[in-house]
Amino acid sequence: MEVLDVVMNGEFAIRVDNLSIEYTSFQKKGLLSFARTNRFRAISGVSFEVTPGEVVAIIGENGAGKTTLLKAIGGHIRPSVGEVSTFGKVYTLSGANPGLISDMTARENVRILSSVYGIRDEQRGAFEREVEEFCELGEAYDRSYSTLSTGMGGRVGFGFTTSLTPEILLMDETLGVGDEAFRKKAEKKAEEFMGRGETILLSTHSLNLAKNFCSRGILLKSGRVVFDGEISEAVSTYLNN
Amino acid sequence: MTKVMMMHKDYRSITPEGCFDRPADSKEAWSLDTKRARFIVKKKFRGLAGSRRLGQLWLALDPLFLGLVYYFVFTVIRHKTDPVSVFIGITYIRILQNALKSGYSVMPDFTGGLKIERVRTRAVILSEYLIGLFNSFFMCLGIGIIFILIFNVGIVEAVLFWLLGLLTYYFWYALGNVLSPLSIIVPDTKPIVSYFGTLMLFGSPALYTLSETSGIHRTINLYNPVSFCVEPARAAILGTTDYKLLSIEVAYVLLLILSILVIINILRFDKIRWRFSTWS
Repeated sequence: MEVLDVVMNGEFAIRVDNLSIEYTSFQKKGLLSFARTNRFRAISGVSFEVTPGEVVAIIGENGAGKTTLLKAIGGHIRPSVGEVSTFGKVYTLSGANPGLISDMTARENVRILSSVYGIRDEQRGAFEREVEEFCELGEAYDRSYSTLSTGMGGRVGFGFTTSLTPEILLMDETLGVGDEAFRKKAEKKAEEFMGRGETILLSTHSLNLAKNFCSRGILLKSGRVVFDGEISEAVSTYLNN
Repeated sequence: MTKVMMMHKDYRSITPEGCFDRPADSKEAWSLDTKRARFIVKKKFRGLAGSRRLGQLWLALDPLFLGLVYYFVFTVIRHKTDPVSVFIGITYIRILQNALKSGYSVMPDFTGGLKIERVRTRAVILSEYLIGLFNSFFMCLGIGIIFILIFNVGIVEAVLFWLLGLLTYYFWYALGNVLSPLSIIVPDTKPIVSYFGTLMLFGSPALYTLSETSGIHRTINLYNPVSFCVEPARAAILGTTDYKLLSIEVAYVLLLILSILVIINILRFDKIRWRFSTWS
């Protein structure tokens, strides 16, 4: 009830409370040994709140727990301990494939996926046009998705995803797609996309991007929050570490 | 609580116990979930067809070809076997194998690749049961058409043949899914599913009728769920009377077990999906 009261007052969009996440896997030590269960803690006791409209960067070295944290907030994985509460439609942008079907054309894919991701009927025409114009695939737009090159397929996925309108956007290192000429356009589109997101959590290694887009930074190290505050301070703490 | 329902944004609470959604518009959320379930089914069947020219038709052709192979083998070995009888048995065994495998494999991704937004478990459950419906339909389709065109079987009997196939699918799918945590905790049990499928092929009255069994083999088959689908189908299509060997009380118990398994499957699906989301 306490949480719901806070939600109703609109004080936070994301609340992470004492979150810990443990992965379980099987590991073999030698060729003839039996596999044993191995537990690995990726996130330990992480707590923070993000208010509506905030743009927050999650920074840290590889293996710090950035992706795991975003997956947990998106509701994709189970916390071992703690709680995450979100208030708004949460989209996780990780990679450039929103679920495209390989033997359908890009056009068919965009049509079917727009319905699956909740684009209203009256908005669908404009949405489809936006994706098609962004992709710049010409006749290849009507070819089977499996026949497109990785770069062309990436354009479709990226164009589709960044045409959606999220309330809470969790973005995981997805800003680079396609060739050099296309990259600038993609960056601009990503900026527009981020502009449409009311609340953004951006996991990135690009400190410039973090500084340009975000007002606040959360620095993770070995699954723990070591700094949470103003972005330039977060970046300098990261660099000093 | 009432105030929360009046809000215009989705609320989600994620804990070790589960991922609890309170959509702002529950009607719209349900509509989205049914669209997502349909998408997952479509993607699954398109994936099964792969790049093969005959596409999904292979689902219907598979039990047909396998039936032909066993019919050939059995006529050579035993000099007498009714092809229709073998086709019925083989179809149900293929459905059993397919269902058990689907239920027992806890997939890392049930969602057909929809990664941007979490797909609610009710959409996944709906898709799994729709997949069962279409899978059993396609697997009965090829042989059903041959029954109607060549062996003059009526439409009603052909539909009954499919409905019994559907029951077979749901029984073995639900059983497999209820046991599926074992497949993650002890992955070595995965091959047992295919061994069990082979055992059922030769042990159940699929390639022969129930009256051809004897002793302990007969006793086991009097409680084997496969017998309760195969023999009534043979009775409807061929007019055989082997189904009379089966007890109606056991049939009721099996129906009760089926219902319980399906209920447990639906209730536990989310827990299993959630629990193993951090296992690899």
